[in-house]
Amino acid sequence: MCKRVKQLSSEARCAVHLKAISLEAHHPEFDTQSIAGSSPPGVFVGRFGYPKVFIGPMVPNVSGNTEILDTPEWWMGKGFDEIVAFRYSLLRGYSKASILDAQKGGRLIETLQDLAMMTKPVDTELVLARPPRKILDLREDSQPFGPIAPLTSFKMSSSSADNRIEKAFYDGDLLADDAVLRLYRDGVLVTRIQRAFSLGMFGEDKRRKLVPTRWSITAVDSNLSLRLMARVRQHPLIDEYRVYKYTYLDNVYVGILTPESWRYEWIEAWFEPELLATSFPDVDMKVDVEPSGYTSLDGYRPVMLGDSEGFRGRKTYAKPGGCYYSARLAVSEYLDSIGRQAGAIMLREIHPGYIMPVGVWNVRESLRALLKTRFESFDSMDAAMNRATGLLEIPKRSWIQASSLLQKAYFQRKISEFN
Amino acid sequence: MLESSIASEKTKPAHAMFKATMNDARLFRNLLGAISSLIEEADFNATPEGIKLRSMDPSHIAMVDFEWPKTAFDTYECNGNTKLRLSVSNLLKLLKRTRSDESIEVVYDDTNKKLNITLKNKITRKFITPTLEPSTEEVPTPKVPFNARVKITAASLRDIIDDAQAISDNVKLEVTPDKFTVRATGELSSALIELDKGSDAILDIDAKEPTKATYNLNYLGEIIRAGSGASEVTSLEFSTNMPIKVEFEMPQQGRLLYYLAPRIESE
Repeated sequence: MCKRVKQLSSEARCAVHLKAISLEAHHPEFDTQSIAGSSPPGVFVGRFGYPKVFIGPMVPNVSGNTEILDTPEWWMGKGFDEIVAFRYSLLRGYSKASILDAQKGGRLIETLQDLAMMTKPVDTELVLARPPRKILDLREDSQPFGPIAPLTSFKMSSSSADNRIEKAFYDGDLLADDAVLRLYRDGVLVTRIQRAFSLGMFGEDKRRKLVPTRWSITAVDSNLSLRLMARVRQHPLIDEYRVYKYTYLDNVYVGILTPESWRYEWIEAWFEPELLATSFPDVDMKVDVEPSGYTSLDGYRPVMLGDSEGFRGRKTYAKPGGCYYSARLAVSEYLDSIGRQAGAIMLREIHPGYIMPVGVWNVRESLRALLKTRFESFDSMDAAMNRATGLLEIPKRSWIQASSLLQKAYFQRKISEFN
Repeated sequence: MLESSIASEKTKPAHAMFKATMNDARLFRNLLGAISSLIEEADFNATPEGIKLRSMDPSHIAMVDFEWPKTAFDTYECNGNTKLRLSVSNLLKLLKRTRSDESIEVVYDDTNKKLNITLKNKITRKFITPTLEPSTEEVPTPKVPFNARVKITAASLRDIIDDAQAISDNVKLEVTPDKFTVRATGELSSALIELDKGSDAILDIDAKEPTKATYNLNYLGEIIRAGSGASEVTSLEFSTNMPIKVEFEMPQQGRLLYYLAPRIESE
């Protein structure tokens, strides 16, 4: 278990690794083949073997109000131990399914779809083929996951369904994108939308498919932000340069909003490149990542990973993956909420105290929190940048080097200057 | 042809309207494509002489200046000055499946503010699309002197720019009286492309003094890819650290030119 963490961090510093070991040792409640507990509700769809994937419920061995265990929106401010404990307390019972089973149904899929619609935790009973394997899966673009075992049977008591999700589920003509937007507008948490989305519960009947959890998170972030961006592009510009700062789990987020047409950039600076390399295998460390040229006092040499888009958006998948899209959702959501348009440069320093990746919810919720803080106003890009880099550790020069929007702002002239 | 002359006799409208046809609908689409690379929505000005368009991209870094004289069309009628704003990307969506053996007819009538497009070969397809409220934004021509000019085949320029774009986000252009040099410097690699006055790709070089400037390749690439689809000869005109004018030679006195502001590195 937890090989990545073992590789990249010394035992002494990796508190979570130790915690995980102790969790493994001290979770006798999972040394059994039958579990009864209240699902938050929670479901998962794996991505290995796609289009044949593992699916199943997520269930703790306790009953009662377990909702927080699978509601990352409520985790802001919690520490690593609590987050790990939340994830680790959920057992995943899995069974194999084809992605097209989302349309064909079947007992397990239908039960899971019912589960994903529930407003409150639901009592469930799992019978497993063997006692669970206790693992801790740490990946930046999903979430840490706990013990797992093949499912023999799964029973669920009835509870009340969220009628907003239910309505979209039974509407076989409503496009998936439209369903997602409607639920979001109706105030359904992104986590809940994404959960139902992963079970192929939206869209035209014939096109419904299961979507691996981590893909569904990004699909929902990406599609919602596209809709919001289309609105933002019509809003009037903000009047000044704004700088925001927020810190969580030893991540420092600094946002710069500029009085320009919509454009967006997301750059993350990893003080420990190994953590990036091991927890985010889709990133090509040779091609996608740039050195920052900065060495911290305690010897860290951060690398930078970022991507950007102009007024018209992008056509390719962004290099930083899921975080890029969850940050884009937070930014476009904020701009639309104030009815203004702006350029957005979002910078993140991931300091060594970020001992493990906890999931893209962390970026989405941190940026939502960031944009709720009081901002400072400036009347030029350079003044804003001076303040922004004063709040960060890596120097201004490195950020400009890494950022295509900053390069443009600093070096690119406008045609209207030559009239 | 016969149809359009009948139509014009039947209707003698007092309100502004225009109507144009082209036998090769794909040509029409390619010209729109050349504009769409930079511009999302654009104000088209239809006059009795032809259609004009001048517009800046949303970040005001580049500008397109485009003119379709009435002679570029197979038939063309316009009874006054009409300004209509269109979503170019939306228009291109409608014309996506256009074939070169189709003819196209475009009719705009001021009374309902709608654009009617008819594509014809064996079957007739009609599209009706709304126009948008014209903007009031003035788009003046940049006032810049040009000290250097390079005339080059559009295909070669496109190859050069594609090579540069594989390496860097920016490109440095240099012109001396007898040489055109393109430099791209990336994280890992760099490219240097030199074209002498005698090269096959170069049709002409004219430089009052050694001239150099740097431009963003996303913009320049879009411009050159778009223009080289509609033209065979490109002329580049610029001065040190000033905007570049990229002009594509068009048949029948048409005009397709772009201005792109430079990138100036000084912290």
